[in-house]
This record gives sequence, structure tokens and C-alpha cells, in this order.
Amino acid sequence: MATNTPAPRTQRLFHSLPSALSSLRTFTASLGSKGYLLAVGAIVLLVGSALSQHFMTSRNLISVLITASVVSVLAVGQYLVIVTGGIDLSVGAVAAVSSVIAGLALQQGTPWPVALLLALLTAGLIGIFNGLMIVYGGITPFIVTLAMMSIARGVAYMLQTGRQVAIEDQGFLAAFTGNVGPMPAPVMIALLVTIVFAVVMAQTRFGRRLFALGGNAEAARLSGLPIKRDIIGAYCLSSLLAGLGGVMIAAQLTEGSAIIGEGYELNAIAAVVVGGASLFGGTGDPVSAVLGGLIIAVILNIMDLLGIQAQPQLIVKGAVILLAVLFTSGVGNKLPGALRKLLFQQRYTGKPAAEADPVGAVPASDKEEADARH
Amino acid sequence: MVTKRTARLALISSLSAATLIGLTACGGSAPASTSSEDKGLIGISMRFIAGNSWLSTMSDGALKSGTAKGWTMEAVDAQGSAQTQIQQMRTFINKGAKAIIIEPVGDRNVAGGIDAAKAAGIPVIVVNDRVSEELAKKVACNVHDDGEATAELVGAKAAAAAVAKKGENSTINLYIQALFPQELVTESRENGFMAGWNKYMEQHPTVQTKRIPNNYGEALPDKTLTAMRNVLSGNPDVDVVFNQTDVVMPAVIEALKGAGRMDQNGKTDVILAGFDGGMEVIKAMAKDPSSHVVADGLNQPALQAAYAVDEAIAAVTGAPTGKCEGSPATRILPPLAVTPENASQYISDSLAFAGAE
Repeated sequence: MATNTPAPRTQRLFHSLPSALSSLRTFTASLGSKGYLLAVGAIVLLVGSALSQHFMTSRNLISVLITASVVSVLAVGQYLVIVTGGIDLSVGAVAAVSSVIAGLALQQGTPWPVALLLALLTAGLIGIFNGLMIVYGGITPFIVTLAMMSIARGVAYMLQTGRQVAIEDQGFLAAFTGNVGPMPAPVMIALLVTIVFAVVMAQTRFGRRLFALGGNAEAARLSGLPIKRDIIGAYCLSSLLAGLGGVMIAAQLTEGSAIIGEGYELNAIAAVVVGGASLFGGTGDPVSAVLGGLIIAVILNIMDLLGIQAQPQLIVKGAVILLAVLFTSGVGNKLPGALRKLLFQQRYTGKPAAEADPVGAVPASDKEEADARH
Repeated sequence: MVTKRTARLALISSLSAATLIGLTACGGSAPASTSSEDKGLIGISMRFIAGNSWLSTMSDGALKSGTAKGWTMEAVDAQGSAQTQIQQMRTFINKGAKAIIIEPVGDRNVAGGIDAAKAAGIPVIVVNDRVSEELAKKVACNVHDDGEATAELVGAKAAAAAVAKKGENSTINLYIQALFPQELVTESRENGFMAGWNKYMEQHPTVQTKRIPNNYGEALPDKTLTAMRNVLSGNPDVDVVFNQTDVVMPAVIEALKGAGRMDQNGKTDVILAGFDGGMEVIKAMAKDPSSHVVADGLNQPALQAAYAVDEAIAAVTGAPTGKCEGSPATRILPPLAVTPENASQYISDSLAFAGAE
């Protein structure tokens, strides 16, 4: 006799868990790459709070934001280049050279706004040089910026001449390390840069042209877009923001130094790709790049709070980048299905034909393959 | 026919070259080679010169010392590559160098260069870093400091300052801001510091030491700043910080300020100890007798370099200094730790890292 009794609790749970996961996946997918980033961010915050009592303190969170502010500024610049299908490996070295220039100028008694201008001007010129070499020299962005990474670092070493370039200008230090309202200045600068370039990318013709350039450069050129000018502009802005990042870190360290910024280019690229941008160009947005950088910074912070050794931290950082890119690019969504298909196919093709089919019938495609081998 | 594109490329290349030459000239860096009354050439191959202020102080010290004694000195940068260093040693042999000083890239992988010099009858001096015992026996002299013994002095002084501040029956939270994970210099400085610390604490059994796990800044200021910030977030009650290199001392200080453990005037209840004798740190110690940096270990790069030059000249002229002894022949700098009381003796405007010249 059929009864209408409710299913046991475990069975209901068994049914409800996949459906809940599916709903979550649908919801985050509907939000796009930012949805995954926000979901991952929320999970990371929850895990951090559960694992360390110091994690959710205002002091720690502000410390993470200050630390991430420099990479965020660099990531926005890197994004402007990556969206065109390019890459800028020189940002760390440009940050170093502008920190040294700002420090040396301040040591000479130059007013800090002038010192800042000098540092940014140098960075901007380096970016224009990169752009010119790419556009008119016909050299790939990877090679141009790789060479510039070495040149800029060398110039920084030569300018510094092995001595500490201490910064004592209180106006400069207050501008870049003080508080703006309730927030530290570096965080406000990073926020401002992110908002400005999010608007530039979404609302201005220049931003649209960068997307078009990354989507299909040839089509953009044939449409009459000034692609050469835009590429030079993108590299100039990337270097300019790297210069700003260099000045910010110089203020935090109270010194200009040729050895700062090592590996920043890779951190910035990691932030951009974790944020869902494709290295082929034409996708993503500056806000996601900054969120990507923040997630990496928070995970590293949690591991430091837990006293995890440096070696496993590297493994975790790499794994996070891979996983994040899988999901923000949308491939992660299809991954379970693809794995199921792969496993099923392996099981199917793994069986001998006779065992798979008792009557010894060979599927047409297999037969053709067998014939071809003979 | 010259196309428009080619002309543009030529223009860009010329401009780039001109800019680079201009920048290079502006840097004001003189060639490493300096000629004098030609007693002969002494070649120096450094693991790094560019980007490493401590090693460039050593290189400058060797050039200055040798030139003052009438020798032609030439220093080259191996950029961390053993192959480059071996090639540079062979080039010195071909140029007729009388002796070669190396700051070795690795302990075994420069064997090819040492063997080539030995075969050519040219004495080799190894300075600062060490080579394997087998290679060390093949060279004229091995000059280095005793980092572990120096760190031991620093550890003892830091422990004394900590006990004086916290008193008996207290728990002291000790953190070491380290250089690199699983690296010899990092480990020897840590072991030395802890030996000195523990030896002092044996006399104060009621004082407990709580070690905060090391974090690594790779001797880079920005990485150290991040590492220190994270450590201070998790351990806001740190009492003593041993910073393994003064190169990153500004980062350590800024992190303490950011965590509210030091005010903007530099007043703090955290005890700091350093290493390498960074001139800015030494100056700050000399300026303030109650400095938060209670001790700094000196490895005296300029003095090590001068000793290496002396041993090279001795090997060429056949007149031993009598200070390079044993098997392998070794000359070791005595350990030295500076305190605020004696820091003023080590101030020099011509050196980036303190020590005798």
C-alpha cells in the first residue's frame, strides 16, 4: 500500500545538498566573475575568523588593506594593459625607480608635490617609451617590458648608489601614510584609483576602445580607432600607476629603495587574472582585479597569523590563483560535468570490445579506426 | 630603399641609445678598474654588486685597499651565477692577473674557476661566503667573519636588555625577523642569537621565553614590512625583535609604528636587535643612549675586503701575513657587537655598513 509518509531526514538532506549547491552555483554564475570573487571573499573571511582570533580585528584588517593598497594600484594599471591583450612586466622596477627618484628629490629639499611629480613624470615617460617600442618598434609587449624591467631596475640601483635614501619630509609622509577621515591614506588612494578607472573603463570612449582593442585589434584598426595612441596610453597609465605605487611604498618604508617591488609585476598579474580578466584581452574590470588582489592578500595574512611556514604558503598561493582563475573564467562551472564525462568515457572505452558487447559487434567508428591501423 | 618604418625604427633606436647612455652617465658610477703604479692586476669576482649594498661596500673596500697599496684592481659582478663567476675567473687568468679574490656564488659550483686558477699558478682568495672544505684547501686563504659568534653576542645583549626591562618571573615574547627559509646565513644567525640568549637566560631561570614563529622578508624592505605587519597582528604583545639584517630595519620600525608599538618619535617598549651594522642604525644608536636598538652585529665588509687584499698580496709576493692559518688556511674576523654606548666609534660617512676599513 502506497503511503504518503515524508522521506527520512538523511535522505532529504542528501537531496537538498546538491540542489542547494546548484542554486548557489546558479546564483554566483548569474553575478558573473564578481559573484565568484565575492563568494570566495566571504568564504575566506569566514575561514579567517574561525581560525584566528586576531583576524577580524580592525587593526589587522586595516593592516591587510594598507598592504594590499600598493598591489591594488599596480593591478589597476596592469589591467589597463592586459585588457588590450598586452602585459607589463616592468611595473615592479618602475615602482622602485620612482621611489628612489622621490626619495632623492626629497633629500635635496624639493617640495614634496614637486618630488611626487618628478617620480610620476619619470614613470609616465617609461610607459610612453614602452608603448612606442611596442607600436612603432613592432616588438612584443612581453619583450619590451621585460627589457624595461631590467633597465629601470639598473637605473634605480645607479641612482641609489648603494646608500639608504631616507625620507624625512613630514608633508610627504603625512600625505601617503596619514589618515583621510577614518581610513588610511594608502587605502583611500587605492580606492580612488579603482573607482576612477572603473568609471573610465565603463563610461568613457577610451575605456571602450581598450576593450575593442583587446577583443580584436585588427577589427578595431579597420573601424578607424586610434589603436596606436590607445596602446601607448595604456602603457603610460600602467607605468604612471606603478610610479604611484612606488611612491606609496616609499612613504610606508620612509625610504626610496632600488630593491623594492621585486615580484610586484607577478602579483599584479595574479590579481588581474584572479579577478577574471583574460590574458588574451578584452575582458574583466578594474574592480575585479582589485578584489582578486585582496583575496590573495587576505589568504596570505591568515597563513601568517596561523604561523604557517613560508614554503607551504607558496603552494597555497599558487593553488588559489589556479582555482580562482578556473572559477572566475567560468570553466570551473563546467568542470564537474567535464570530469564526469571524462570518467565515464574512460570506463566505456577501457573495456575490450568483446566484453562491452557480448555479440561481438564493433561500433562503426571503432571499426574504421581498426581498419585504418591495419 | 629605406622605408618609413625602417627610418622610424632607426630614430627610436638612436633615441633609446642616447637616453640610456645619458642615464648611465648620470649615474656617476666609475669603472671598477683603477690603475696606479702597476704592481699587477688583482681581479675580484663578487657574487653580486648591483642591488646588494652590503656586497658593494665589500667590493668598494677591496678596490680602495688594493689601489692604496699600488695594485691595479678590477671588480666584476657575477650576478649570482656560478657559470659567470667561473668565466670571469678565466678572463682574469687570460688578462694576466696576479691573484683573484672571489666572493663565491656557491660552495662547490665554482670549482672549475678555482681549479683553472690553480693550474695557471694564480692564487685565489675566498672572502665572506665559504666554499666546501675540499675547495677551501686549494685556495691561498679563506677570509670570513664568524656570523654565529657575532649573533651570539647580540643574543646575549638582547637578553640582558629584555630581563632588565621585564624583570624576573616574566614571560618574554621573542620574534626573529628572518631572511630566507632553510638558508645557511639565516640559520647561523638564528642559532648564534639563540645560543647567546639561552646562555644568558640560564642565569635567570624564572624568566620564560616564548618564541613567535619566524617570518621571512628575503632581505627586501617591502616583503619585510608585510611579514612584520602580519606577525604583529597575530602577536601584538611581542617584546623583543631580532632583525637579521639592517637593510630592512626601516621596514621593521614602520611595522611597529603601524601596529601601535612605537610612536612617531620612535619611542617604544619593544627591544630591537640588528645585524650587519647598517650605518643609519649605528648612527641612531650613537645618537640616543637609550636607543630601542640595544645591539647590532658587525660583519665589517670593508675590513673583510682589506684582509682579502692583504692575503692576495701576501700570496703573490710570498711574504705571509702570518694571520691566515690552519688547514684550510683561514683568517677569521673577530666577532663584534655594537651597543649604544660604543656606537659612535663606528660612524663613518664613507661606509654604508659599519666596521674598520
